Amino acid sequence: MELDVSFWLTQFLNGLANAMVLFLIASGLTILLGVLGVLNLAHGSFYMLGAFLIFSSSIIKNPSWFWVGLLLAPLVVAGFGTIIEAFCLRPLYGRERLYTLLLTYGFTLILDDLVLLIWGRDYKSVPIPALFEGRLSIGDFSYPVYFLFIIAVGPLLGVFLWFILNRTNFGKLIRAASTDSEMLDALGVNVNRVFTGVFALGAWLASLGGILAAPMRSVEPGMGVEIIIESFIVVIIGGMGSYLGAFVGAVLIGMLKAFGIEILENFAMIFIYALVLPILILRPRGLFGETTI
Amino acid sequence: MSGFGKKALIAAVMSLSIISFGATASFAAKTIKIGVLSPLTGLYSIVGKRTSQGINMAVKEINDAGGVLGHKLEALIRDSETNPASSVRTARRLILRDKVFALLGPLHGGAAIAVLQESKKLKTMNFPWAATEEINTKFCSRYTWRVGSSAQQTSRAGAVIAHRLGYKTWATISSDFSYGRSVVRQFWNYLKERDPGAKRPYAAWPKLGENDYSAYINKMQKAKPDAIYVGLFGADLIKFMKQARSFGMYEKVKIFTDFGGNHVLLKALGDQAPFGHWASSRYLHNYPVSAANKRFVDNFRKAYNVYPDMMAGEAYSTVQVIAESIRRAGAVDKEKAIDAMGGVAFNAPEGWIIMRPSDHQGWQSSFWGVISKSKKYPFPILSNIQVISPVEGSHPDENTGQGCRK
Repeated sequence: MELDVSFWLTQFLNGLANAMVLFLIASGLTILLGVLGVLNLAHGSFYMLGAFLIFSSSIIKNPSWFWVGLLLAPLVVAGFGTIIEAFCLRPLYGRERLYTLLLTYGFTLILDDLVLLIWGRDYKSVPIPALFEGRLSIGDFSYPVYFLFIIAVGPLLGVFLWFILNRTNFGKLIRAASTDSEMLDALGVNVNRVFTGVFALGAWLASLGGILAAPMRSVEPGMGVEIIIESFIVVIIGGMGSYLGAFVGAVLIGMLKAFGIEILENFAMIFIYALVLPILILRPRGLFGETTI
Repeated sequence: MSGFGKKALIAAVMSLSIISFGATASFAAKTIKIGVLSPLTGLYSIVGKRTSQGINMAVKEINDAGGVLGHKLEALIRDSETNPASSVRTARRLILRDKVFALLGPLHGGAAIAVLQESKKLKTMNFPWAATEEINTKFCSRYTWRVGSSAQQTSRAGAVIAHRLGYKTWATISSDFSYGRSVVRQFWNYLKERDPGAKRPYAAWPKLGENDYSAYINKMQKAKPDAIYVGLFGADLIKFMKQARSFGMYEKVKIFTDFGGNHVLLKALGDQAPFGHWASSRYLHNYPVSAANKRFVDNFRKAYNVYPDMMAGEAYSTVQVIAESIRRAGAVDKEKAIDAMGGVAFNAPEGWIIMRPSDHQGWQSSFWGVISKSKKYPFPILSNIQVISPVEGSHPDENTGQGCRK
């Protein structure tokens, strides 16, 4: 049988597009875990908030709605994250992890109902921005431009994150805080401010994921809870605290989903867990992680 | 002797009048309570909201017209939480403590089956919103009824239309759970019955709530079907449609969506709706163009400032059918109303509904139409509507209702 190149290429790109959305959420989640040691279950809610805010800006009848939303919404969500971190999470840092887990879980429930209150119960759909409408066609092969846009944004943000973490002062502080926050505190650095900054950065990334996903998916309460499970798997695979690990983990999951349905259509999820299991047993710190969770 | 006779007569008349006075007094004080289970919170709360609105409208209309046999109706609407355990708990409370006359809902298939078994035990009629076919077959009982279309009615009607239009090679996609499976199974079996030459090279079963359909869409395109049948509903259907659109499926194949004609869905999709493709809805605000439908839509818009959708119509009609069964029975009596239910006919907004005694299912026409832009409405609607009679669309008598007489 002839190898159907355009079919496999399409499947590959599908996996990649899926992976990039996951990466945006998992990267924030993993840095948060690495630096703060907080498993933020409400992280998916930031993804949801991003999607709802882009829905609101899509109501503007002007082609620039997408760019306005893309710029402003993550800032709004990051600001919201700052407030949550400073006033609700900070008092719990000294205590057992269970408390932060419960608190962030509580936030997922509150935020799900809050978006219902603000945005109402109707089904919502965000259109594809006009610039990315249509498909790119080369011979037999044709692929939606918007998916290509998502695929391009992922690595760009990856480089941006690398730059922040490795080339800026803030990045140095983040890395220092993840190794030894007490020492950093002793050196006179306001560690609390670093923590807040990390949390805001995570919220910013997650909401960006929500914005990119919204034109392809649905905008609904509960969408955050769903994505957080997959993102957590990405973190387990990639390793806690490693944004490179988050990237590799997300791509692995995306590919397993896209090609898994070729092999065992109704049980494609099995491949994901089949990958997680040996990692948990043989390399519990993940592919790129330095410490175990 | 005559004196004694007179005394006895007076006593008899007096006691009779006391009895009848007492009876009317308790009659007048009694309200008929209708218990409703619906998703008021969470993902499907839009469905719950429209359900409540449809119920409240029917109750108000009936009460304004003097009630049922002089009794007022009262709706007790509770959150089903889309969860079998809490649905059953709420159902028990409604029946045992609030003494409801009938129980409506819930929507979720698993919860509906749990609740209908509880209602059977507690001898109270139950009208599940869930459209799963098992409700009319193995889980049916004397106490289980449904007014709105079942999954098999719209999907068999879909097969009638598909056959009429002559598409030969099909791909199907539906969520991997009982309702999703049953929609496509009904469609495909009935199409094969009518057209043994029909082929289906690909059937996709993504999980309920799947976010990314692109891998399935790619496989669908590889199978090169003439048409696809989509059994997805709600937010899943929106996601699938948007992704199918960006992959160019709207131009490549004919799309048939079992649920896609619903107003709330078409409104959400707006300009991205699959114009020119076929869809069905259990209720349409723009069809039939009848006095009953016009009155319903006008009143609904006046009360809530939105167009009624599928669940609003179904909820409204269910309350009306229960009221009619009580009128037919001539008494506010749970068992007598059930005896009178089979054969109840109601001129519903979507057309006449007749409660079929064999499988306790409201017999009614199904509607399929083409998704179109409209000058009259600021959202897409169905036009070129095809009415499939229940004779063509419903299961034949002998194949259904196995459990209903138990």
